[in-house]
Amino acid sequence: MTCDATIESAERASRGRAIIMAIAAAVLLINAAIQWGDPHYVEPGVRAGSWIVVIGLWMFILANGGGLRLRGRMRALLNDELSLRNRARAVTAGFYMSLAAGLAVYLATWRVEIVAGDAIKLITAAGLSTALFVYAWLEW
Amino acid sequence: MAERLANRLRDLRSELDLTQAALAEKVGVSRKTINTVENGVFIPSTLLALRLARALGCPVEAIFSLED
Repeated sequence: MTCDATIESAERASRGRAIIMAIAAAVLLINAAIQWGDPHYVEPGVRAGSWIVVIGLWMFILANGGGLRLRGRMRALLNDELSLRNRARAVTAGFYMSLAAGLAVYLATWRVEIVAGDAIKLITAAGLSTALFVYAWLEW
Repeated sequence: MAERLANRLRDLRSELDLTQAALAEKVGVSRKTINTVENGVFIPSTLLALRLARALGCPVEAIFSLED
């Protein structure tokens, strides 16, 4: 593969990753909204457990930049210095959004009753989807 | 006094007739990284600055300088 082809492939892969992360962030938020207040999604069981799997999976992907099937040079290009800086900024944004969502839930409980499971799902969805959106935006 | 990091990366790259992709390949980073460094959006680490200097065959100070 010529040098330009490698660089272009890495660029395409980077954009593909950005699109996937943006879609995942949107899906996370939509799921959190759909499942809000539905006891079936917070009671012990497969449905409630699937949230743990989804959050865990995307945390893992965000932590290592994804593209695990890629090897060597391509993966290094995909996770170069700029990409690592972008990821750090995205995770920081996600952290602050989680704190803001936590405070919002705390304030909301003064007026309405919120189930712990719903609160946790809201906070995790807000934090993770923000991190994924910001990373996708910076990497685009 | 606010200091800004100025760079001559684009000029030096052009002098060597290298595209952003070719320089990216030599340095081992993405084309976007070269582009953002050239535009002053991204300040590279010392390690990357040294790799850029090596790829361009000049000292780091020839690429980067402090601008008041």
